[in-house]
Amino acid sequence: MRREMGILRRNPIYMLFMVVMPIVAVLFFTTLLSNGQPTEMPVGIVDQDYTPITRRMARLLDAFQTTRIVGQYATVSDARRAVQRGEIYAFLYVPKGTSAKLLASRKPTISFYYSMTSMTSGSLLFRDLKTISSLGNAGLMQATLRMRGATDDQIMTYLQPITIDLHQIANPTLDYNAYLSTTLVPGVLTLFLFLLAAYSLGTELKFETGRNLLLEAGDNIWVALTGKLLPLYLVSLAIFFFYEIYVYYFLGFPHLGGPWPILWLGLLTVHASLGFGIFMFGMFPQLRMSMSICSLWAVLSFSAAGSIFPVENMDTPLQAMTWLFPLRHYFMVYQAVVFNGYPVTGVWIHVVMLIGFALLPLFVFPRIKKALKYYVYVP
Amino acid sequence: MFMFRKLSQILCDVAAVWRDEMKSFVHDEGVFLFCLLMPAVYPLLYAWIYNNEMVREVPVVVVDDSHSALSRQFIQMADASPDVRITQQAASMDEARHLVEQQEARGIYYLPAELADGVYEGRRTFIGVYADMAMTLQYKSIYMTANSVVTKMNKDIRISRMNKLTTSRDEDVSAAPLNFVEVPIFNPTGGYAGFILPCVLMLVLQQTLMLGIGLSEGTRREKRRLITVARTIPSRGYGIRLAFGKGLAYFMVYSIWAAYLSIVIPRLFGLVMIAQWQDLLTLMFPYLLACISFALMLSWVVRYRENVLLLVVFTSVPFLLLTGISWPLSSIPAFWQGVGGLIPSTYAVRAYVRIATMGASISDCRFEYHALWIQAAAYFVIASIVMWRTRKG
Repeated sequence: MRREMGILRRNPIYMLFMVVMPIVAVLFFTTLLSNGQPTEMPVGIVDQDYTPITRRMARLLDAFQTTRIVGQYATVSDARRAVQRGEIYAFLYVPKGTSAKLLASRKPTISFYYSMTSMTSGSLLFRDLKTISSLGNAGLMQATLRMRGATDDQIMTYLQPITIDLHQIANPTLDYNAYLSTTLVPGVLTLFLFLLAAYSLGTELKFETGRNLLLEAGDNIWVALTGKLLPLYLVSLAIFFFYEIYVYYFLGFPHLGGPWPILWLGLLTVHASLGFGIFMFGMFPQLRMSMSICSLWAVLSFSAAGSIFPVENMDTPLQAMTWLFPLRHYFMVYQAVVFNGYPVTGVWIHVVMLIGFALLPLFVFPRIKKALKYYVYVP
Repeated sequence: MFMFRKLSQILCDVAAVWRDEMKSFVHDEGVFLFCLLMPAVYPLLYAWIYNNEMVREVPVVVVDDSHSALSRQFIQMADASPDVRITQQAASMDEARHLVEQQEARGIYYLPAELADGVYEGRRTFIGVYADMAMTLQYKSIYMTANSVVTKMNKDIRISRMNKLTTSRDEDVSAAPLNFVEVPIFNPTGGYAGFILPCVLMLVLQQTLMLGIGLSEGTRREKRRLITVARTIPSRGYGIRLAFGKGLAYFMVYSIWAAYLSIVIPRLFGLVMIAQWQDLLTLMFPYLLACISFALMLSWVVRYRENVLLLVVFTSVPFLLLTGISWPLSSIPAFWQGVGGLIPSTYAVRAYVRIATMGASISDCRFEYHALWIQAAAYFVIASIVMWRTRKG
């Protein structure tokens, strides 16, 4: 243990990746997504009619929180080119004669073109458009009905006999930060843990100091590994708790589950990732190989976690494969227990899997011992 | 004559470095893994993961307290929609909540007892939608389905309330006087793969280059011995020749990968691909140069070859976000936009998405194109200086 502290002090890599980079990662994601929801996305308008009615429509569009009209274009192809240049995400097309047709009840058509190459902006704009189209129609009908002497209440009942009463459980503001950062940041943290576990064991082999390590531990692999990895474990745990306290209590991310699940899930995740890193090293007792495998695994974790694109919609073999990623289980437990505050019974299997990952190294202890003792580094 | 000899000497040096680097593709298993295997396999894997594109059949549980023709109509229409699947009918909200807690459903549709009565008596009624917010794509499916079903039902109810003296055209017009057409353009299916894969493909090029070059530079530094041939190169112009020779080797290999990633994979998985090949070529050329120079420059921080894994691997996700495709550029804080501006992938992804899926030409991406060239030049100069300094060990 004391020996390990010395190594940690001497090699700046550890300091950098145990403490500095994780904190940078936490700050990166939380500040990058700090808006919570994209607002004021640039859109354009092609108004070939240009009457008070169509101008009011444009103002309506501009008034939405998510959109901001940045340009007027003469033709549809001009506007399309602006989308291709990346200046706007969508545009509203009002053809000539719209107002006239409207007044003559001939049901004119106006179109809203939105680019789906960026899904976040595309779907948000689509939502606004839906609102505008129903508001636009409602506004016109409202005027007609009011002329016939209907009260506002009657009008609303007529327009919308059934309304939707939406409950966005746990994240009522639809905050993307709370939704993305809670998987991406732990993903980065577990990635560092994977790699550092393999790295710190692997360097023992690389510099052929493994025998010394065993010697100091009295030839006991338990003592050797505990002493070796305890500092890493303690620091990572501290960092993970720092992250959790920061996002849940400082930034106020939804955590209906309260402090206890946050605590034990953090503990489990750190254990599981460390366990996975050691296990991978045990399977491939070589610095380069174990680190490569860990990095390939960690990068795939972000997709396999299913926090953005749901696992249920992947192909079946892939669904099975996601079970091999600790981050997937973290996410399943997180969303049920911490985020929604559900009882743990619904996701117990994922808790078991996390414990399983934490226990994996037990199988490879003898292999690691052998490697530390006899392995010769081949560059 | 002297000039000529000098020139040929430079070319010989460059060629020797190049040959040495080419060998390492086969001999160094790290470089082999990251520069030959990963660019081939990763895109396939990602394409497979997102192959299904859409979030369909999200399980939803219904609580029907109304037991009316109207509520049954709602349930049928929701179930018939592509995005939602009604898995069960629960007797009470408590039971439904329990099902959601057990992860058997992601949302609840609540049809209150007064639903049908309210509609027929001319009162406003509501349908409760409770969505689990853990995954926004699922939430979107649940909410949008309810919304479109209710809109449709409302229109029918409105029409049924009109006096029967109208024609169907009248009904249509007064139920919706204005016709809105929504046209999703470029990636018209709104699929997830069509949106995320182009970013991933471009990023794979850069990240694997950084890994491969970092590994090979780390080895060079670690062994404390210069590559056999590089030893004979004079100090003056050492950096440039080394950087150029190495860069050339990676450029050759990655020209193939660039073609594979930017054309073959999208075709293979049926992504939108309406680019002109000239435009793609014009874009990929400076991008590869910028990536190689960027990677050569960054390799100075690598003291041991394995450190590069720690440095590079975690950057993938931040770099992806910085491109401004998954998270709109207009919402990225200025500071991070500045950081993103230093990274080649930021420009390349933006330009590639526009060229490949939106059919823009290279002249529409002039800014990104120039930025890549500037990066390529600036990073190459820095890389040469860095490599020259390492000669002294």
